This record gives sequence, C-alpha cells and structure tokens, in this order.
Amino acid sequence: MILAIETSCDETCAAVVDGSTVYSNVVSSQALLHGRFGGVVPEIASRRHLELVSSVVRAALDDASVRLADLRAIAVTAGPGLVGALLVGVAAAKAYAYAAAKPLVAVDHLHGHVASLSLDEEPFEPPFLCLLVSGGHTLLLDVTGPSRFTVIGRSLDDAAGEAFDKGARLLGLPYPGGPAIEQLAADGDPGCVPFPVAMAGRRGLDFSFAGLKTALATRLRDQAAAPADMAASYQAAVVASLVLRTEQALEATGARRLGVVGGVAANASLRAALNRLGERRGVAVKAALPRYCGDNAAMIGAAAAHLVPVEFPDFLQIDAYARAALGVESSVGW
Amino acid sequence: MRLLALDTATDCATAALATDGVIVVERARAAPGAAAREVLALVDDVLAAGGVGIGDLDGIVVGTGPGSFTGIRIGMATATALADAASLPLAGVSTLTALCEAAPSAAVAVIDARRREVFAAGPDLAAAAYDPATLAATLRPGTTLVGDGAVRYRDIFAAAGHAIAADDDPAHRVSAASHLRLARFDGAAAVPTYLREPDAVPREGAR
Repeated sequence: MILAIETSCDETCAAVVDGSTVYSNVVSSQALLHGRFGGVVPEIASRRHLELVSSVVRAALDDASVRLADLRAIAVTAGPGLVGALLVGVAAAKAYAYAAAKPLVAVDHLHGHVASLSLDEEPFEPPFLCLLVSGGHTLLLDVTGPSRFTVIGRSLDDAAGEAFDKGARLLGLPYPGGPAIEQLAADGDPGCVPFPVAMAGRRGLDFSFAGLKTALATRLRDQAAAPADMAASYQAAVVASLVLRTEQALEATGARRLGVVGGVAANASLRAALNRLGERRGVAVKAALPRYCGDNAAMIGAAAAHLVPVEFPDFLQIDAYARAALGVESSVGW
Repeated sequence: MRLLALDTATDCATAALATDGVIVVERARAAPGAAAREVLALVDDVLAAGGVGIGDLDGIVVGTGPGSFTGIRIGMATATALADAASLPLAGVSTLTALCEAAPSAAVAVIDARRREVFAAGPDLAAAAYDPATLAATLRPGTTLVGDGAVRYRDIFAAAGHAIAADDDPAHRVSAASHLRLARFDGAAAVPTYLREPDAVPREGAR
C-alpha cells in the first residue's frame, strides 16, 4: 500500500492506494476560497495547504484503516504546478517518510493523470493515445508503458480548463468555469452562435484556445444571444477543437485506443463527443472515472506503483518543480 | 523529557535537541533561499548527535515566523508531519520572540521582510511589518537591534542612533535552542505568523 499526497494547485489531497485498488481518497477543495478572486491565488493556496495537509493525510489513513507502519512507500507530487503549493506536500511527505522510516516516490502530476485510467475495475493499460485536459494542461500523449510517454501535441497558450475559466468570467459565471459553463450550456443551443474551430487550418497536433476567448468577448458584445446559447456554443467550440486534434493524433499514430484524463475529462459533452469519435473510427475510448478526473492523490499513488522508491537520505534531494519538460520522451516520470 | 525544535523562517535553517531542559545539540545551516529545504537533514543530524530517534521524543517545537512565507511553510509542514507521524504534541514559537530571547540584553528583533520592509517585535513593539526608516524613528534612540533585517538596514538604523552588533554576531541568527527554552505545551495550536496578506484583489462582483 502507498500513501500519496498531492498539493500542486488548489486541492489538498491524500489517498491510500494498492495497485488499482483505492482504499481512501480524500480531496479538500479550495474552490470556494479562490472563487472571489476568479482564479487560484498561489499564496492563498499555499497557506491553505499548510492548514490542511496533516489532517487530510490523517483522514486518508483513517478512512483506509491503515497505519503508517503498514505502508510500502509514501508518494508525493513533485511537479509541475505551483511551486509554493507543491513544497508544502513535498515537505510533509518527506517528514512522514522520515518519521515512519519509509521510502519516498516523487511523482509527476501529469503521469498521475495518465495513471488515473488504471483506477477502475477494468484498468485501461498502455499502449494508448491519451488526451490530458485540465485547468493547467492540454496535451496529447503517446503512452507506450506505465511510465513511458511522449508529448505529441500541446496547447500553445491557454489550457482547455483555462479556456472554460476565462469564458466563464466573460459570461459572468463563477470559478471554476468548466462546471458552471456545462450547467448553463445544458439548456442552450450549441449551434446558435458560430465560433471558429481553433487551429483548424494549422498543421501539427498543437492546440490554441486564446483566440476562442477573444471570439467569445466579441460575440458577447455584438450578438444578442441568450446566455445559455452562448455558453453552449462556446463549450461546443472548445470540444470541437479537442476532438479535431485528437482525431488527427489517432490518424498520425494509428492508435486503436484512446484514454481521456484531467479535470475537463469530467465534461459530459466532451466525453460524448469523444465516444462518438471512437465509434466512428473503431477506436476504444476510455475516460477516467469522474472522481479521478480532477486533481486527486489516488492517481498519484497509482503512478507511484510503477516508479522506484527512494530511501532516506537520498530522498532529501527530491525537490518541487514548476514546469514539465515537454517534448522530451520520458521514462520513470518526468 | 526530550524535545526537538526547528525554524526555517529565515535564511538560516536551525534545529536543536533538549533533554530535561538542557540543550544537547544545535545545528544551523545558512543557505539563502534554500535553507528550509535542508531542514530534515538538520533534524536527522541533531537526532543522530543526541543518539535518539524520532520515537524517543516527547514533543516538537516549531518556529512560526514571520519571515519567508515558503520558509515558514516548509518548516511547519515538516514539524506538523513529524508530530503527526510520531503522535507527538506540537508547540509553536514566534521567530521574532526567539531572536529576542537569544539577545544578550533587551533587544528588538528585526527580520528582513523583502520589498524594503522588515518584520519587527520587541518589549514595547507589536509584531508587524515596518518600513525600516519609520521603525528607526519609532524606537527610542540607543535600542539594540538583532536579526538579519537589522544587518540589512544597518545604515538606516545606525543613523538613528540604534545599536547593531557586527554582521557575523550570533545574535543575528535564529537559534532553535531559543525555541526549546520558550516552548509551552499548553495545547495551543502552532499557527503560522505571516504578518502580511497575500497579494490578491477580489474580482468585481464576485460572489
């Protein structure tokens, strides 16, 4: 069993995991705290992580009826993310590992999202093409092994989740924007307001969402559409862009299986569109279970199972990092 | 009664061990911007030098700042997790109070707060962030100042007639031995002392 800790953004998370079995998964969201600022304030997030981290860890151990002594290792997200936030989890994880005389595993947050596909009764194992869509990242990954993947496409500007957050802001909706837009869009007509499909004419597998946000601002100014129709049309444009690039990536790699992970993967409209894409192309599509789409520590524990634990004092060298080494083929995490 | 203390709020990370009120060992590591990340190695050094393990302790004391926000958090996350893992009580001590305690005579503690400010506190001075020149003018001339903020703004404080020991004087460094002498295990939670609000502007019309 592994105790995993995740504090890379605005959720304080701990979980106890053994392979694909999740014994506990505690997520303490700070969304309400950041809502009045319209987005995550790093210093506020870091302060909150410190207040919560040991009680979240204790809750994860208690929920699983496990003692520290029963663990094989402790795992922690080292990056990418907000460094000040990550450092709280990393410092706590090192101290738990030291006090309990357990090895420590540093896990890449993006590797964790990919590994969320294994947290299911029928784990989705590599090889597959993976669409990772969250508030911080939009990536197409060629996943060749449990901890081997290559980035083949990424957003050149905003992440898909950011596009929802910024769109929600323009629409006067609260943070986080994805669920708010999805809720409003449910009663709207996605074909009401035409949007361009971002990057449609551009070669390659990269994404761009900054233009869509500008297009929304222009349409809100110039067109008298109902808010629900505007939200539905905007959501449809984000989804269309994700589906277009994903289809091109399936074409380019010849992949027969597609995994979908990250917070935006919980969006029902995206899941439905990718399922239709899979049916049309004869590709098996698997989205992470909704509870493992947003940031959580269970996925970090799932990824850690495939990495080599580091003993004391060597684990003291583990440090938090802000950015992923994109474009570099990675093995054993990034 | 064995107690471990640590403080990483300033550029000098420090850890110390006491048995029955006697300081057994103290270790410090000065590493601007990175000292806090060394804290667990310091803890291990101190415990090894004292010939004890974490399970032999009766409590942990942590410096709660003010100082570097990240430094405070690394020290407090470390201390909180060690205490939780070993089922030990945790007590907090203000880093400014610890500096005052170690000074040879009554002194005002001054910690560099960056942004041309200092965090200061003393016998008749409430803990807060101050502009160095304003603080210098507020204090009675001839006040003894200790801490890295006193060293950094030495010129301003000296011009106002205050006393500051040489840059390398140990009185300017936070020592976890002070925390061990000051700690009270009275059940009060250890709370971080930032003395400055996060930079964030609420969104207009946000709910």
